[in-house]
Amino acid sequence: MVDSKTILDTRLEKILKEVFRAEKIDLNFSMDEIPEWDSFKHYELIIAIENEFKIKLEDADTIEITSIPIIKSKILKYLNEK
Amino acid sequence: MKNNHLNQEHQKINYQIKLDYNNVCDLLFKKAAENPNKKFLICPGEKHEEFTYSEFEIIVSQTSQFLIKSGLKKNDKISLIFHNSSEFLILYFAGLCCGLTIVPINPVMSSREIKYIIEDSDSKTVFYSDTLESKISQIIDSLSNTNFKKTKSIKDLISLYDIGKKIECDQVSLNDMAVIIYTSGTTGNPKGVILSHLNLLSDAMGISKWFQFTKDSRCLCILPLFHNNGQITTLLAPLYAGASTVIIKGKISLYAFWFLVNEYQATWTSVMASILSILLSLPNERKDNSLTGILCGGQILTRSVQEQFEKRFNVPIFEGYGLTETTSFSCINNYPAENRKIGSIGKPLQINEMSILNENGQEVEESIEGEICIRGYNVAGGYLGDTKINHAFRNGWFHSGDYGTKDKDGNFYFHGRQDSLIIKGGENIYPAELENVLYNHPDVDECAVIGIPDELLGEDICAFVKIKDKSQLTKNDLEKFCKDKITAYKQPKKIIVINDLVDLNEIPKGPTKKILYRKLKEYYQNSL
Repeated sequence: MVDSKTILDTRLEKILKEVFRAEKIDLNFSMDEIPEWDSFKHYELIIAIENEFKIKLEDADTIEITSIPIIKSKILKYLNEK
Repeated sequence: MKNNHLNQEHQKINYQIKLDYNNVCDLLFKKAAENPNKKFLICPGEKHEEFTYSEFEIIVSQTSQFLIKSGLKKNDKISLIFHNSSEFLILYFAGLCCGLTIVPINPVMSSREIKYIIEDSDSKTVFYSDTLESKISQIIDSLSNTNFKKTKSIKDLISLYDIGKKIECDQVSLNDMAVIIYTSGTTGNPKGVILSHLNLLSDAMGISKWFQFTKDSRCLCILPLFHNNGQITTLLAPLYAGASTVIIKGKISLYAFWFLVNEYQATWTSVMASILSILLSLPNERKDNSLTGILCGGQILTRSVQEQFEKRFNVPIFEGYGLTETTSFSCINNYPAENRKIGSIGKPLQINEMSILNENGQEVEESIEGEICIRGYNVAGGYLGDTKINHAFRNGWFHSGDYGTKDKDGNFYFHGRQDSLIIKGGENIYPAELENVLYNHPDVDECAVIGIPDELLGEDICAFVKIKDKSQLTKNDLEKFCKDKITAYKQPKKIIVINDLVDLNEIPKGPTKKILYRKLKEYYQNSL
């Protein structure tokens, strides 16, 4: 049986690969370790996360998203609030 | 101040200006003494930090003492590899306090490019963000004479030492080398522009006075601090007025731009034209009543973008012009907004003079096109090392390589560049940077790189490549080949393999075999 954490990782990894057009993504990376992660991609990423997980990130949260682990914690926070 | 601080002909102007500070740290410490409890810096984000003038002065003093106890001496160079952060700012001011020269390095550069700058600048110590560990670890072993310090937080660094609270900065003079900022070079390697404390202070003063900054001004810094625009316009210029700055990592700033302006009641910011285009493309609306104006430079601002932006967001944009060699801005459109001459890059700041010169170095008449030349307090002494490139500083002027005109009222107009420099979203890229990478592929016969129009970024990069006979090399192979060898923003948007074209057999060249970039641009515009 697949646990919910693995499902979240899988869905997030799919988004990240699409946004950054990458074949492989390390889910522990910060934005500094992904050269393609610029201000345009940051915007695309937020929209993709909101669409995929049906959540709406607060502006204050979007400036804290500087790594993939932080993205995961933000998604979990919003999903738990639902 | 007297002109005797200006030891280069191209720094002398026909009048004197008064600077009240002996160096950048003198400025910080005097402002801290005047307003110790006033907020100086706000760094929003995951690790939200705020510093009053007094708090910042103390941590800068402690860090200066740490630098001295680490064995660094006056005039040594230190490289800083950080995105916008409090760590960068503290090390920047602390280094300047003890007479070190700061070499800021763009963290998105490839390891090869970072290594070049560290070696070229002869940096004794490199401080870098802990998030860049994987990139920096690739070059540490090959730079055995350089000390590398991974930096997660300044408090971790200084806690190792028993240090006092205050340091004097009276050994640092106006002419001391303050920063070396690397900018794209015609040969492919970046060149280091040497800026003194005088350069930084004068340009900061010029901008601060132009916009009448006060203690109540608050600048939002979204441009990178490793470039001159971020450092001067939204850090040192507000500091000159005893104002405050909100520093944010550029990558995360655009989506939340209007939120940040409103949340922190920013009164000014400085951007590239591409940022205005992006903000126009987003659904987010302005929420504040605080923003007085936006300074825009670094790439051409189209009238359409300016009009749409001002109409939708009701905030005036002030176009300006400057280069790393002029510390930051040399001229800005008139303030207040009703005095602007739309389409112009404005009039010279008080601290420099500008002129349009012909190829013989003579001033041309109004509305006649010539080279934009600048001289004054903010003009760099020169480039590091190479005497050939220092040719830009000659006959009492800095020759920008940009072409434009001046009208009868003294307003300047930017027309374009004489050479093949590509300006992509405000970043300067010379074709040779990418060409050198492509030529390293054994199957590349010849190549040439040009700027192509891009709606958002102004220009993007296109590489024309001729593949050697019998080679099976593809565009995708070349994209992969370039990927780790050059910074992401310097990667080509398009690679055109000439062998696949029916009407172009080789890169167009002149009689001396010099690549005719203009012809290639014409070909791209007419045929592709």
